[in-house]
Amino acid sequence: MINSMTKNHHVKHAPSAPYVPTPHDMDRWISWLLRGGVLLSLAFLVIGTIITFIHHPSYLTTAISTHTLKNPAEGVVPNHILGIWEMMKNGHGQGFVALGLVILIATPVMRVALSVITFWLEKDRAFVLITAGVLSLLILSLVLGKAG
Amino acid sequence: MSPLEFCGGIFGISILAGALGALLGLGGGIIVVPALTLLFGLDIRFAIGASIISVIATSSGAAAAYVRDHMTNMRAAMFLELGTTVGAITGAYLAGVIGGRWLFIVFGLVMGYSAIVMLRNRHQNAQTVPPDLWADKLNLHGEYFDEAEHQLVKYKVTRTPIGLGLMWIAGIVSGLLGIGSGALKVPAMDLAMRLPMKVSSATSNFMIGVTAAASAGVYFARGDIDPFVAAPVAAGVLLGATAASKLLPKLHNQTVRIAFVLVLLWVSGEMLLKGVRLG
Repeated sequence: MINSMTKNHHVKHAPSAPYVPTPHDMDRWISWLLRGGVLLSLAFLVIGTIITFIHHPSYLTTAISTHTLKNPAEGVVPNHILGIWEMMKNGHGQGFVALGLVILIATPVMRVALSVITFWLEKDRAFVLITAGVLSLLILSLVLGKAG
Repeated sequence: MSPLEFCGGIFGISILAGALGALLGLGGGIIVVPALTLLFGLDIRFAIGASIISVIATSSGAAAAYVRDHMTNMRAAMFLELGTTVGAITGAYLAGVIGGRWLFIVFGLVMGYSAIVMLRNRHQNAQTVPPDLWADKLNLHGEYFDEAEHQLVKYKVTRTPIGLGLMWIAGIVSGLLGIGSGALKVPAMDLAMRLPMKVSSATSNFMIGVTAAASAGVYFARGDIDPFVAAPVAAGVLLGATAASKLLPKLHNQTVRIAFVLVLLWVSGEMLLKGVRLG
């Protein structure tokens, strides 16, 4: 029922008129963004894990390496984007996995950014301020976290 | 245990954690952290890093469906996110000033009390709520189609300023203790703002991803997110949360409420125990 309402709304729009999204458009866009982020992240996680097991066939059967994998030495865990890129260039599966995790972490931030844009298109000034405030606070906490 | 069995075991438990978290608006840390430390002998540092990933995966995995089905009150969520993000930053600064022990005890008691009130109020009529100027001005009221009752449910949001304050506190607590992000958000929306239970759960689910993303950057930079552990957690939770998100619209509000109360009592007990043991 709700979907058919949204469709009618599209039909009424003259192609030349500036497009003003409805709240239902926003629901769909955000839903797409979240689904896209999740699928992209999942793809990298799966590919990276498969590469890791192909490079280390012993991981499939022997228990020896589990302890080292559970207790990684300092510097083994990737903790910045350039490190991930290096690992991926060298064909390390864990680099692909780490990129998948970064995409997963970035997805909610992108969602807030998309809502700022949508509210701006809707000309909902109060919510442009609110969502832009949340986005700035998110960025602030990331910057503070890096510094601290 | 070979690395393959290690990954497979974590993956299986994470499916459960994602499903439960998605239905109740929680992050799944209550399952992931004890499972990783007790069953798989993982260092608590990497267990907490994986739990942050689990919160984001639960949120994004289920929210895609909840938003599309209009279960999530997005306007309320985005407004309340102001409170949680300010709270998270406040919490990061208060860490080290306030001792963890008393916080665990105080919020263990708060959660236990909320669980009892939520159970006692279960027959309250959602139609009659005190008027709220903020909710009117910001247009926070909403509606959703309830598949369990086969009808469109319209609801009014109330006590918005109190809700915002409670979200600030929820943000502080999750910033300080690393837990309780959803466990405090759902009661705040249910008891103070009077959102229908399923909407509270879906809206909390939507919000926890943002709070967790803010701290995930810090954990990642510190090297606490071990991809070898986090990958099966993220993949399992994403699958579990996506599957469970198809179930929530079909459940009755009361079923979700009772399940939430039980889990909240469990979390409250865990927190009290932790507070006593830290002494």
